[in-house]
Amino acid sequence: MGDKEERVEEFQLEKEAELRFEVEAGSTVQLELVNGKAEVFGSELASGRKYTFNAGSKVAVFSWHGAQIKLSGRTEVAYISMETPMVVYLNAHVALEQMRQKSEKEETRGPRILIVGPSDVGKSTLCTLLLNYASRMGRAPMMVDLDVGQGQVSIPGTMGAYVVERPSDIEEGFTLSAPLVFHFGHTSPSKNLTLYNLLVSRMADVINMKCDSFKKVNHSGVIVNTGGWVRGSGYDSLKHAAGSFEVDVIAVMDQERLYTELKRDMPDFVKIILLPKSGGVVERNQTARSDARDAKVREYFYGSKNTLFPHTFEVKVADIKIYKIGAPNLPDSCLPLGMKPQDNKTKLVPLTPSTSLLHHVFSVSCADSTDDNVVETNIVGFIVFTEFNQDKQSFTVLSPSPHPLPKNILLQTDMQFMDIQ
Amino acid sequence: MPARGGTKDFMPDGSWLQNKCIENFHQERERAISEARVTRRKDLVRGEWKPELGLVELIHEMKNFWEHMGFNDNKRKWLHPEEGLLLMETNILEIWYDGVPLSLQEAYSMLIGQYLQLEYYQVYAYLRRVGYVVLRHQGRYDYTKYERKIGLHKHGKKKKKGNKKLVGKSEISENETHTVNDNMVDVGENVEYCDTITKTEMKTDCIEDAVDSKTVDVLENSSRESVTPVSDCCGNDGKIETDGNLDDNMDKSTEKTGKVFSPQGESVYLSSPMKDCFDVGSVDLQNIVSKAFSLKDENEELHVGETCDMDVDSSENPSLDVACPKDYINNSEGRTDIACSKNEQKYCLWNFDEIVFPNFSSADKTVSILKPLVTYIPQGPGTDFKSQSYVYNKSIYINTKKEKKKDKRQDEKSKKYLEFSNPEVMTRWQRAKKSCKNWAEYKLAIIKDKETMKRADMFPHLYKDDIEPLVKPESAKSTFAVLNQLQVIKDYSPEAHRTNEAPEIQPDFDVYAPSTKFKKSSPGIPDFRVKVARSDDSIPDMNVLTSIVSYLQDDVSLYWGIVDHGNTSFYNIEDFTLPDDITLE
Repeated sequence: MGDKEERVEEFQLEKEAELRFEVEAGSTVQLELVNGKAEVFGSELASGRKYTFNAGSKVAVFSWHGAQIKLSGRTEVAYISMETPMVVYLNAHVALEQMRQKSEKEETRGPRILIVGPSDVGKSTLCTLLLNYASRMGRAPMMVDLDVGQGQVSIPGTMGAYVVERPSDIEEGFTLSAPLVFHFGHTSPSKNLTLYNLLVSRMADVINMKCDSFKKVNHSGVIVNTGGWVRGSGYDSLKHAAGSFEVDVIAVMDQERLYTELKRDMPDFVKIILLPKSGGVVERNQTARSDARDAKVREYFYGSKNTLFPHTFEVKVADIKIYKIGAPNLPDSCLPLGMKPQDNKTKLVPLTPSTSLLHHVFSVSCADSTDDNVVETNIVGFIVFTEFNQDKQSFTVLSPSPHPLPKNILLQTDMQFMDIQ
Repeated sequence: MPARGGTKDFMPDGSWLQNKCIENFHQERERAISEARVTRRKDLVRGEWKPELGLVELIHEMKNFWEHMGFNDNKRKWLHPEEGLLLMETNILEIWYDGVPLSLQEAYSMLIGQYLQLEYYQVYAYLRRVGYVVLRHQGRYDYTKYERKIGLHKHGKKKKKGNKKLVGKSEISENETHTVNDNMVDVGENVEYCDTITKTEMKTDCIEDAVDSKTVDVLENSSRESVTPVSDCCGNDGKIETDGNLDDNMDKSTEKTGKVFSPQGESVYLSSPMKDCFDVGSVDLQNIVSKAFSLKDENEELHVGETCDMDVDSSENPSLDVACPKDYINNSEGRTDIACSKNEQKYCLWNFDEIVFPNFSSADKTVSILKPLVTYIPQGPGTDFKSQSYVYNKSIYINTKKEKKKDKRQDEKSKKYLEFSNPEVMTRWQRAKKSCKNWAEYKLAIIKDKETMKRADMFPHLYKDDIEPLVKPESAKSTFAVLNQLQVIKDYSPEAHRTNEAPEIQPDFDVYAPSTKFKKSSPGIPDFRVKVARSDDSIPDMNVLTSIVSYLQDDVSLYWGIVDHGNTSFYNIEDFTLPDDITLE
C-alpha cells in the first residue's frame, strides 16, 4: 500500500536472542527473515517469505544462531531480548523426547505432560513450542486443550484435542485435522465445575482409546494445556485432570506455591517441575481476553484472514432441538429428598425458541437423539441464530456449512456473536 | 318381654315412686327369665362335646346357622366351642356329653377353659349378637392389590360344578398354582389367560391333596418313562391336540437344550435329564413348581410364537430352557474378560534421574541448566550453543511478586479452618502416594483406601463407649444422609417393619358384615379383623401391629376387642400424619 507512514525496521538478532513485537491496533505488520535462521514459537521461518500479523498479535521471533529480520508496518513495541528461557524449554523438550524414545523401545505409553499455571504465563506458548519441536522430530503428539476461556482448538467455551503432525503455520496456527471438541458452554470452568470435570474425564477416555489404536500417537505422548484458574476448586480440577489423563509430568509455570501444592498432593511417581515464564509474555486485561474470544468466534466463521464465507439459511424450529446444559442452581431445601444439586448440573434443559436465543453461538452436537449421552458427546460445529421469524417459526442461521444442518441437537453457549464488521 | 325405653333414671332419689318402679321392673324381669321356654325336641340340633378335640360334633340335622358357622372334615361336621356355646344360648343347639345333655351352666364350665377363653367368647358372642358373621382368623389372603382392584378375588374361591370336563388339564395346572401359593391366585397367569373367568373359578374345584397325589403319581410315571403323555397323567380327557403340541414343543426344546421341563400342570413332564436334578422318588412337588415359577417369565417369552389358541396356551404353557442362565453366565464371563484386558494399560517406569527435566524449584538463588542434548532436538536449534551450561537467576525468571492480598487472605482462611490433623489418614495416604508406581496402582489404592477407611478404626476413643457420634463422616454423603443420621428419634416407617413372615400374634376373628352373598367356603376378605385383649393387657406394640397388618397385606383394619368386666369395646390404631407446619412463637 504505498502508505507514507509505513515504517520498515531491521533487526539483527544475536545468537539465542529474541525479537519481541506487538502489532498496533488497526494495522498489520509484515515480517521477513532476511538471512540466518529464526523461529516463532518453535516453528521455523522460511527465508524470504513475508508473514503478515494482524492487529493485536504479540510475536516473539527467536534465533538459535543469529538472524536478520525485517519488520514492515506499525509495531507498538519491538525490542530484542537476550534473557529468554528458551534453553530451559528446549531442555524440557529433550527430556520428553527421551521419554518418547524409551516408550517406543518398551512399547509403553508415551509421556503425558500437564501444563499448569496462573493466567498469562505462557502456558499455551509452551505447548505450541513443545508440539512444534516434537513434530519437527517426526512425532505426532496429541494436544489437549482444557482451557475453556482461551481455547486454541476451537472457539471458547469448548475443550478440544487434536493430533499435531506438522509444525504450526506461523500465521494461522496448527492445521486442525479432525479435532475432537466437547461442548462446555461457558468461558470459565467455575460456571459448571461438575460438567467440566465430567468432560475432562470423558476426554481422557477418548484420548486413551485414540492412543490404543495409533501407536505413533501413543508413543508421542499427550500435552495437556489448562486454564489459568489455579485456586480453590480450580486447583481441584487440575488434580482431577492430572488423574484423568494419568500424566507423567506436570509443568508448573511461574508459580512456586502451585508447585509445592502439587508436590504435596500428587503421587510421587508424577514428576513435577517448575518452569520460568518468558519475559516476553504480556499480561492481558479482561477486555483483551474477551476481545480475543470474540476474534476466535469470528475466525471460526470467516477464517483468520476473512477467507471463509459462511452460509445463511433458514431452519424450521420443528427441525431442531435446542438445549442448554445445567439447570439453574436450586437451594438444597427445594430439592426432593436425597437428590443432590450436582444432578442438575449435567442435565439437558430444553430452551424455547425465541428472540432471546439470537446471536448466541450454538454447538451442533454429534448426538442423533437425546437418548444418546448428549452431554458427553462431541460436537461437529457451531452456528449462530441471526434472525427469528415468529410467523414461520424459523430461525435464520449463520453456519459454516450449507443447508441442511448436519445434526439437529443444538447446545447453547455463553458466547455471543454479532455479524458486524 | 318387658317394655323398654322411656326416660332414664340416673340416680336413686329415695322416692317411693322410684322404688316402686324399680321393684316392678325387677319383678317383670324375673318373670320373663323364669318363664319356661318350650322348644320341640326335634327342633333342637344335637351336638356332642369332644373334650379331647375341643370341638362340638354335630350329630343331628341342622338349621340355617350352618351358613355362617362350623366346618366339616371328610364326613363329620364340627362346631367350634364358641359357636356351640352361642347356639346353645340361643336355644338352637343341645350339647351332649357322656350321653347326657349339658345344662347351660355345665356347658359354660366345660367349654370355656382350655380351648376357649372367656374374653374370647364374650367378644365373639357380642359380635354375633350385633349381627356380624364371625369366623376364626383364616390367615392371609394372598390376593394382590391389583387382583382386588379388578375384583378377581371374588371369583377366586367360587364354586362351580360341572366344568371339569371342559377345562381338563389346564384346570389341574392352575390348581397346582394354588397348591404352591397357598390358595392364592397367580395374577400374571390370570391376566394372561383369563379369557374365561370360569377357568379361574374352577380352581377351587380340586382339593389340594387330590391334586398332589395325582401329580406325584404322574411324577413317578415320568420317572419310569422319559416322556409321558399328558392325557394319561392327568387321567382327564384333555385335548389331544394339546398333547401333540406339547410333545413337539418338548422335543424341540430337548434338542436344543438337553434339559427341559415344563413347570405348570405338567410338572409331570420330566424328560430324562431332569432326573439328575431331582430325586424323583421323593419329589418335592412344590419345590419343582416353584422353581418353574421363578423361571416362568423366560418361558413365556420363549414360547409365545408356539401357541395355537388360548386353551392350548394355558395348558401347555411353558417348556423350559434350563440352559438359558448358563448362556448368560458365559456371556458375562466374556464381558469381564474384555474388561480385564482393557484395564491392562502399559505404563512406563520413568527414571527421572536419567531423564532430566529443567526445574526451577531448588532453593538456591540461581539455577543452572545444561545445554540441551543435541541428539534429541530438531535441526533448527543447531548443534552449537553459547555455553555448556546456562545459569539463570531465579529471581528474574520466577515470579517473586507477592501474592495478591485477597488471595493471601483466602489461603490463610482456608488453612485456618481446614486444618487436617489426622496422622493416620495422612500416613496411609502418604504410603499410597509413595509406594505406587503408576496411576493404575494409585487409583486402585485410593479406592481401596476409601472402602476400608472407617472412622471407628481411626478414632477408637470415640466409638468405644455406648454413646457414639451421631454422624459418621463416611456415610455423610449428602444433606439428606446427614439429616437422616442426626435423627435421634427415628421416623416410624411401617415399611421398615414389613415382613413376609407370619407374626407371632395373629388376629382372632375375621368379621364380615352380614350379606346374603356370604359363603362360608369362600368368605373372601373380611371387613375387619378382631384381636381379643383384656383390659389389663398392655397396649399393643406398634411393631407388632405393623407386622400383622403388613403380613396380611390387604389393608383390612384390625380392631382390638377389649373386654372389661363383660363390656366389650373396640379400638383401632390408624395411620395418620402429624401436621408438618409447626410455628414457634
